[in-house]
Amino acid sequence: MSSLKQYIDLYDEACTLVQASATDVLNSRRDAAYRQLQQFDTSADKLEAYKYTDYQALFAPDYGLNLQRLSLQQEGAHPKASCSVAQMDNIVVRLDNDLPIVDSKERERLPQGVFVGSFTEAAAILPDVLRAHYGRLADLECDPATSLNSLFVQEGLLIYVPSDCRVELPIQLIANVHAAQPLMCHQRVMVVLGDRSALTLTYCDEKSTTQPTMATQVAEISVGEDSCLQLFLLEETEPTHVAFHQTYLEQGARSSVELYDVTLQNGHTRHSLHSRFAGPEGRLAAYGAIMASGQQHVDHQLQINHLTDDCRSEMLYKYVLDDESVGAFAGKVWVAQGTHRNQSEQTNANLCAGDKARAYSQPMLEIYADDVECSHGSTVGKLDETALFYMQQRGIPLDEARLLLQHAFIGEVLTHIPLEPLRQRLMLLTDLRLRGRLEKCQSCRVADVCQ
Amino acid sequence: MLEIRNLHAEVEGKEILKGINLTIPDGEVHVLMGPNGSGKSTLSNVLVGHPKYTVTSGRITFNGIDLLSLSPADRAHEGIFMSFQSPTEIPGVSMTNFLRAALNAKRAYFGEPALSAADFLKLLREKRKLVGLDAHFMSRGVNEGFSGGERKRNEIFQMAVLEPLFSILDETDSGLDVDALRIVAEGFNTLRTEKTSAMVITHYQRMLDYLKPDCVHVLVDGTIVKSGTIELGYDIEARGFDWIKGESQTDK
Repeated sequence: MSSLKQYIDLYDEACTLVQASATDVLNSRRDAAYRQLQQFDTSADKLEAYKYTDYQALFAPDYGLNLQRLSLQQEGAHPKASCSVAQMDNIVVRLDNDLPIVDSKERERLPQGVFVGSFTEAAAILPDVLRAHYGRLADLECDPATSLNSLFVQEGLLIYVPSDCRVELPIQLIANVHAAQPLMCHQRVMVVLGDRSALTLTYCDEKSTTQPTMATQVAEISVGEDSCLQLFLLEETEPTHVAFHQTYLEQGARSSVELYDVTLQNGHTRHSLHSRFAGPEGRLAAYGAIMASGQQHVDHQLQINHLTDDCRSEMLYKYVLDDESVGAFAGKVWVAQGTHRNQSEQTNANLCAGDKARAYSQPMLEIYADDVECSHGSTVGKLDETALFYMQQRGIPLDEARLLLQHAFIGEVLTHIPLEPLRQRLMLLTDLRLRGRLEKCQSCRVADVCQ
Repeated sequence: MLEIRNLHAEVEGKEILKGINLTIPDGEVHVLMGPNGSGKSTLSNVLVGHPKYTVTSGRITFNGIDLLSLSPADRAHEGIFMSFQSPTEIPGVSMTNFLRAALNAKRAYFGEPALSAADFLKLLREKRKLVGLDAHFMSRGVNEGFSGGERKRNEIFQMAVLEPLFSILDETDSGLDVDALRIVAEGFNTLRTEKTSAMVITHYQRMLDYLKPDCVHVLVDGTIVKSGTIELGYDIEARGFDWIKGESQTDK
C-alpha cells in the first residue's frame, strides 16, 4: 500500500472538517486534488521528478494534522519574529505553521493598494484575485506533494501588488513550524504582481520544535509585464524536518525575476521550481547556495519553460556536502518550438567535502527551436588538496583551510545577491554554518551574539 | 639552525632521498643545485611536511625542535616557509583573507591576540612595497589571474608578511624576466637578518649573483655529493653536472 493511502483515508473521514474552516476557493480544488492523489496512490510508475527523493518513505510516518485549527503555541516557540539583518528595514509577516499573521502596524507600512493577508481576508477584499490565481499555476498532475497540499490546505497567504506599484521595503515572510507533537502542515502562498510593479520578498523557513515535522509549501507566483521580483528563499530548520517546497512561477513580458535559494540547515528538503515565460523578453536568474552535513538531504528540481521569444534564464546552483549528506540537482530548460533568440545558461557545481557525501547532478536541455543559445555544465569534486596544502604551509590549520575553501566555493553564489546588508548577513551565516556554530545561535534572529 | 641527518624519504613507494646530511646555520643562505629528478623538490616538500612524501628514516631539527613531529601548519608557525615552484590558485579566497587567516593563526600559536584590522592593512601596505605588488591584488583570489612573475612576487610578499626564520625558495627564479628577478631577489635580500636562513633551489647563475650564498650543495640521486662556495655554483653553470657525477662515481 502506498503511504499516500492514509491521507486519502483521512480525507474521506474528515473532509467536512477540512472544508468547514476554508474559503470556497480552497475547497474548489479539493476534488481534483483528491482524484490526483488517488492516481499517485494506485500507480506503480515511479516519478522521474522524484528520482532523488523517496516521497513514499517521507510521507509514511504518522504525523498529526491540525484540521481542527487548534492553537499550537508552545513553550520555546518564537512568539514574535524580528529581522536581525543590520541596516535593513523589513515588513515582517509570519506564517505560524500554516496561519498567516500580519501585524496591523506592519500592514500600515505597505503602499496603498498592496494587500498582504490571509486567504480568508482576501476572499472578502480581493475575491477576484484569489479566484483568478488560486490553483492556476500549481500543477496537480505532476506532483504528489502539490496534490496533498491542495487537498488539505485550510489557509494561505496572499501578497498582492497592483500595477504601477513598487514596494520599496522588502517583505520578510517567516514561516515557522512548531508543535508539541509530530506535525504535518500545508502552507500556501500566492504572490501576484501587476504590471510595472516591483517587490522584494524574503521567505525564511524556520522550525522551533524538536518534534518530527513536515511542511508542504506551494507558492504560486505571477509576475506581470515589466515587473521585477527579487525572491530570497532561506531555509534554517532542523534534521527532524521534512520540507516539500513547490514554487510555480509565471512571468509576463519584459519581467525580471531573481531567485536566491540558500539552505543553511535542514533535514530532508525537496525544492521544485516550475517556471514559464508567458511573454517575450523576460529574464529569470536562479541562484542556489546549499550547505548540508550529517544526514541532510537537499534535492532541487528546476524546470524553466521558454514559451516565447527573447527570454533569458540563468541557473547557478552550488552545493557543499559534508559527512553523509546528499545533494541532488536536476535542472531542465525547455525551449518551445517556433520561439526565437532564447538564451539559457545552467551551472551546477558540487563540492563533496565529506568522503561519504553524495552529489547527483542532472542538467538537461530540451530544445525544439533552432535560434537559441543554451549551455549547461555540471561538476562534482572534492576539496583541492593542492590548495589545502598551500594554505597549511602558510600556517593555516587544516580545518580552517577546509572552511576557507568551502566558503569561497559557496561565496560565488552569494556575491550575486544585490542587497548589500542581506549579502553580508548571509556571508556571516554561511561562515557560522560551515564552522558548525549556527546551531548554537538557534536562528539568524539571535546570531548577532556570535559576532 | 636547521639540521638534517641521514634523511631518507620516498614518494609513492619510490625512495628519492637516500641519506641527506645538511646543516644550515642562522644567517646563512645555502643554494641547492642538481640535475632534474635528483630530489631537490622532494627535500623541500619533506621539510614543509607535504603528506605525499614519507620519511622512512633520519631526522630534521629546527632550532632544537623535531620538525618531523609537527603538522605542516605548525612547521610554518615555527618559521618554515616555502616559496613554491608553481604557486597554486585559490579562487574565491582573497589575498587579504588568506593572509589574515595565516597571520592570526601564527599569532594564536604563540598565544598572541589577533592583529587589528587597521594594523593588518598597514602591514600589508608596507610589505607590498617591497616587491612592488599593486593593491588591487589584495582583493583578488590567491594567485587568481596572476601572471607567472606576479605569482613569484606574491610568494616573496607572503614571506615578507609572515616573517619566517627559514625560507625555501624552490626555483623562484624560473619564469621571471630580468626586472622581475631583480625585484624578487632584492625583496628577499631585504628580509635577510642574522636570525633568518634559507635554502634556495636554482639552476641559474643570475640567482647566485643576486643572493651571494654562503654555501652551494649539489644533490645527485638523493644524496649531497659535493658542497662548496659560490664558485661551485659558477662551475656548474659553466660545466654542467656530469663532472660532479663522475667524481661521485670515482669516490664510490
